[in-house]
Amino acid sequence: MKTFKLDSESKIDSGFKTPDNYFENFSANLMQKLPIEPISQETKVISIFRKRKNIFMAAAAILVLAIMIPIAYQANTTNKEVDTVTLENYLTQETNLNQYELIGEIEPENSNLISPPKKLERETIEDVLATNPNIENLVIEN
Amino acid sequence: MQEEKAFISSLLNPKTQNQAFQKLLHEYQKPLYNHIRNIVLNHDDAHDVLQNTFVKVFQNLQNFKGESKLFSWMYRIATNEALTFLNQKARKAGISSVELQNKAIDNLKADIYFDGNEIQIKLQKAIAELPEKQQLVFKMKYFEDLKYEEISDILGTSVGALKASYHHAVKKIEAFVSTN
Repeated sequence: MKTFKLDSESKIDSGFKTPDNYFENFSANLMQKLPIEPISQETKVISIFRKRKNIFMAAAAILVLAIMIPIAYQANTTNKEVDTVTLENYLTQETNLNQYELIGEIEPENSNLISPPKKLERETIEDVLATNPNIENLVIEN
Repeated sequence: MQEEKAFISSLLNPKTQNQAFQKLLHEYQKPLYNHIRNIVLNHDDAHDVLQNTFVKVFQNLQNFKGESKLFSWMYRIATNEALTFLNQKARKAGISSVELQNKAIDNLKADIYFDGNEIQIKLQKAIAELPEKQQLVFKMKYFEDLKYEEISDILGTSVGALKASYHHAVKKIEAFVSTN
């Protein structure tokens, strides 16, 4: 039996082959499969706001409603009639009429606007005169 | 060494990464394919393992500390991927690694990507009889023409131990081929 010697034989090839253009195609395919992102990955920052965005949005909506409800309620219930004090202030500041001019503006036919003089009893007049210390001033003005 | 550091930097730089990785592929895909194919024997399996190897290389480049050469580091990844692949395949098939290897050798005759004759089949059968470490050393030295220093860097074994492994492997193979 012939003894087999590896060194004395011509080198035996493994016999393994590859498909045509295998390595060209392999490179192209692999480059497509590899992730595009850079290898040196920076620490990923996870935004707290983004994570709890819905909670924040809901809280903001509730807050806006809480503020708006009293304002809306107040706006609906406000009395649109001008109160007396405001009217007096307006007339005082915005008109040039004094009380004499105002009296002069009243037409005779509208004199019924002025309440008719009440009939005064004699005792009443005497009481008023007796209790009013500025009787002289009243006499001078009239 | 400085050149390799610059190349690794270009692999890590997003601006130059694409081009650098294409260069890496161009340079290493053939030797790594041959290394993997010698372990798994089948082309389709070698293709899958080679793909996984480059994906792992890409993903772990930032962890490469430069303690060994890039070449050795990639070979180590390819070796681990190939062995892991074989073990998983054997486990799934419910057979041992040796049985799986013999089955793969039997299928070589029908493999369209195997162009070998009887002596090549016999050599593969002889290699399959060796312990895993001796198989690796023999394939890397005989088929891939790697230097002992390079194999030492890849497998983390001393040059002296590798020489001894190769010597034992050759003797066993010669004995197997002579008697079969």
